[in-house]
Amino acid sequence: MSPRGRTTLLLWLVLLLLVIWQAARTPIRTDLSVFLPRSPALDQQILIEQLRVGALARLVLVGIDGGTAEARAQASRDLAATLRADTQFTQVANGDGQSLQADRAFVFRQRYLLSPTVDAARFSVDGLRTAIGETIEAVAAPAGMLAASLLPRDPTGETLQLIDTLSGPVTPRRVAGVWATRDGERALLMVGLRAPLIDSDAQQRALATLDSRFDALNQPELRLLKTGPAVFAAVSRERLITEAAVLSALSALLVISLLWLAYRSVRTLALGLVPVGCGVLAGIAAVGAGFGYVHGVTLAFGVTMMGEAVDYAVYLFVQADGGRDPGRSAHWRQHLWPALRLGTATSIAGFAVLLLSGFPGLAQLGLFAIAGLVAAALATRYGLPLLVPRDFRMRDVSALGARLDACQQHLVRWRHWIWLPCLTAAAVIGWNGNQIWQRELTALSPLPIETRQLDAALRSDVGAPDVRYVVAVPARDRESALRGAEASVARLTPLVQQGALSHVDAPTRWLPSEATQRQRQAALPSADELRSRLQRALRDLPLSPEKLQGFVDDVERARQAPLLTPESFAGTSLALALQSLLVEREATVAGEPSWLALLPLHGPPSGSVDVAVIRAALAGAEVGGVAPLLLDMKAATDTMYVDYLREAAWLSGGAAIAIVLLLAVNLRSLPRLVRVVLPLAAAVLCVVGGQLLAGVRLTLLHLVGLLLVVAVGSNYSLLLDQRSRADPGSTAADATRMLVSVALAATTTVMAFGVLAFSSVPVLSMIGSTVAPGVVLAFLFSAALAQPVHRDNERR
Amino acid sequence: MTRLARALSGTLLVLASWCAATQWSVNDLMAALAARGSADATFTERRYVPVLDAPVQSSGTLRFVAPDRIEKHTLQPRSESLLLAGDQITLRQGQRTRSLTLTDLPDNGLAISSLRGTMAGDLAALRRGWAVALHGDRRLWTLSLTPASQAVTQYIEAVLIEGREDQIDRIEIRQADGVRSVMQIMPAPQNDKPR
Repeated sequence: MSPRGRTTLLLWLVLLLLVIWQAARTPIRTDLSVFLPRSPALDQQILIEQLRVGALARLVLVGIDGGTAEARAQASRDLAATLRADTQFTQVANGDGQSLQADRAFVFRQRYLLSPTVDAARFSVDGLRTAIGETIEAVAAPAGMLAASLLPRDPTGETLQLIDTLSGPVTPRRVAGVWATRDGERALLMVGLRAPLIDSDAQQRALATLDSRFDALNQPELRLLKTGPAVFAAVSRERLITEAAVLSALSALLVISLLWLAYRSVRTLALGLVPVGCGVLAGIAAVGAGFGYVHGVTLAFGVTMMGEAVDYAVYLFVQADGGRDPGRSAHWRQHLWPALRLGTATSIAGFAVLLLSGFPGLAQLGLFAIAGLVAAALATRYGLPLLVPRDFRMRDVSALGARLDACQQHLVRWRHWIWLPCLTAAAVIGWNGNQIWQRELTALSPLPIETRQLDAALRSDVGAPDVRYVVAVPARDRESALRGAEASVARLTPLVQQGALSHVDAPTRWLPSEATQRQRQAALPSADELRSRLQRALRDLPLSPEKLQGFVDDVERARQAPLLTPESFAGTSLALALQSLLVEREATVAGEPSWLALLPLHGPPSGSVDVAVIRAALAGAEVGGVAPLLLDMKAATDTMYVDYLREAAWLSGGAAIAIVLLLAVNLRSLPRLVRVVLPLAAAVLCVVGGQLLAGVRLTLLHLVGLLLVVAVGSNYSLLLDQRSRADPGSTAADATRMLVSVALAATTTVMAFGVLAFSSVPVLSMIGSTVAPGVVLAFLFSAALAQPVHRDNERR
Repeated sequence: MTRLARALSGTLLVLASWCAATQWSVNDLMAALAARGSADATFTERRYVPVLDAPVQSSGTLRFVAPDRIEKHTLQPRSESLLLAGDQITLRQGQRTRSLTLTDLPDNGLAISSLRGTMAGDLAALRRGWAVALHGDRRLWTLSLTPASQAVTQYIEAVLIEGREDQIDRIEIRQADGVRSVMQIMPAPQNDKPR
């Protein structure tokens, strides 16, 4: 090995070690948040925060199936007890007597601060007479025994009406003392995780703890079901990783078998994978250095994009015989490497546009691909020839080459028919018009349909429906948020009475603003005053004031009690509700509202929420200059995705222009430019047409797949174009080898991506079903449009 | 339970019922009540609350639909109703309807289900929540129910049901906090069934 070669090798090794070091310290994240925009509008920001750290994103719904109702209830109680003792969980509610009693006791204790009916009028002589009279009447009602029990200490009946609203519009039914589904066949628990959704590892640990605690109950006839964002993240990650692993292994096996047929050498095979390995490591390292972490989806796509690097080694081995023979090696460097270099540059131009994306996920993908391709190309050009053994001999491929040559002749003869599939595809695209794009994010969800159905079922059973509309009240501090929420509730309550809404959740139901609490305290008379008012109020009622000493004491205590704060709710299941409805935002920019009160709106039982009516009701309900926002969670999510799609479409257009410009500058010949670009454009057109014909609507992933088709296909068209140019020193054998190498490269790519097309994970199958046919078409069109090699001309 | 113990207890049960056959037993009472099936009645109820100088009165109709449905329609002083089917309770007061389950009630719904268990003659159901004792004879009997579980004792002291033959006349519920409900029951005239 020459000294220069040794230096190159040493440099390579050092770079590789650096890259490995950087890649090894780059964490992999799998949450959705990197696929959310970086600087969205306030309502999208709120939505994203809810997705990232919100209490709803930390809620896990747990079901217990099988066995008898008693066994399920016992398991629910045991599981709740062990989880309550674990700091990984903030809240465990299963409707058992313990939490129910704690809630009731809390409501009873705090009734005079919580009850919306407490005001000066209610504690006047007339108000007391009416309220106490009504409570006595309530004793006669069928369910009056409870009112009777409460009468001595709560004669105005505050507790009963609070208990009425305690559970919200829907309460899970209770079977054998714990929450159950409507059919009673499944026990239900609500579990709050301490870790936010972005800390997916901690969430996964908590879920694993949940599983192991359930297993420790040792109830083999019972089955645990879980749902919620944390579970979705786990399922998606697992499915993506296992499917990606299995399918990659399968496609690797296919590719390796094919390469084995071509090389018949383990060492050559191993060497052929060196550029891919370098590319993947460099991609991870670059993204890690640029973003601080790499997203699991970036990694999965990035690795598939490195499929292009497998081709690099194929070109080197087949075209230059491994680059060992000095003469042939020099020829490869002079005539073929420039074509390959241009192909790589074309790919990079395509992916570079992704760097401009406002979505970290796309930007990561762009950076990954660029760094990976540069590393792989450099490794192929400078490193790999040094590693090829001295006795490297490529198999004789002339027989195969001759057959491929003949095939190409046929293709060339049919080249004028290329407009037929293109026009058909264009017609299909035109016919579909606006229906080309899939605009709903769920299309990308890797979750199996059963998982989503289970979620919907459990949610409706616990009365936590997937709320679509939420009024968000941003404010600079907690008190303002609560006052704002009270103002909004006051505006929305008439809508509930009119039936336009069935229910409005609000944090102020449990935690009124300090102002409201003080107001209620001020409305309570002193003990002496209350006693004298009772004297007059009870004159015509069968109740003597002396017997209400407990009431007088409780009112006096409430007058002086410390005001309620979020901490007051410890140990009750109300804490979970409060946590999800009153949010302190993390790390906000100075001047931005740092607190948020959320008011989920429950639509009327029949029909949907009329947004205009709600906006009208909320108009002007400002506190401290911040107006409440009506968020449409579904629309916000979908809009975000459509923005994403639109941006990606613009970027793809930009990439196409960049690629054409790059090629035009380098080729400096219109006919050559047409021969290189036309096959790619035709392939993209036909793939899109084919997808639409198959009833598929295009998503972001199809777009990324098309970018990949152009990146990989440009190598084929450039190399086949280069092949057809009569350059001195190029022999017929070289031309044959060139064709064989491109055919081999195309076959490996098709195999790798064809396997992905059969994945049940939409993300993977979309990429596979786009890239595999795209690559076949790009190769066929390139071959058909390439200028036939000179000796073929003579034959014609 | 070992097989021997089970065999023994089975034998005991047979012996006990053979002895009981000679007099008015809980089983006889339950069989008689069960044989009646669905029934309609009117009721007047007085609720004694320690802090109130006078009992609170109400009246209305009571209907039992075998096997597990109870409808209590209070007509005076206010029209309100309570429906119990399975473990679901529906409360109606004017336009307002509230649904809850037995276990939502502080006493786990034991008081209301004791009424149903008795009207249905379902001894097994009664024994799930109560210690059951029968006094008196066929002509005038008192069934006294005391809560089987400690947790319920803090709410309910006892339920006393009096009757003649297969007829229930009076139900008294005594709560631990001194609140007491006494319900007088009269069979509804056959031709005047409330619908």
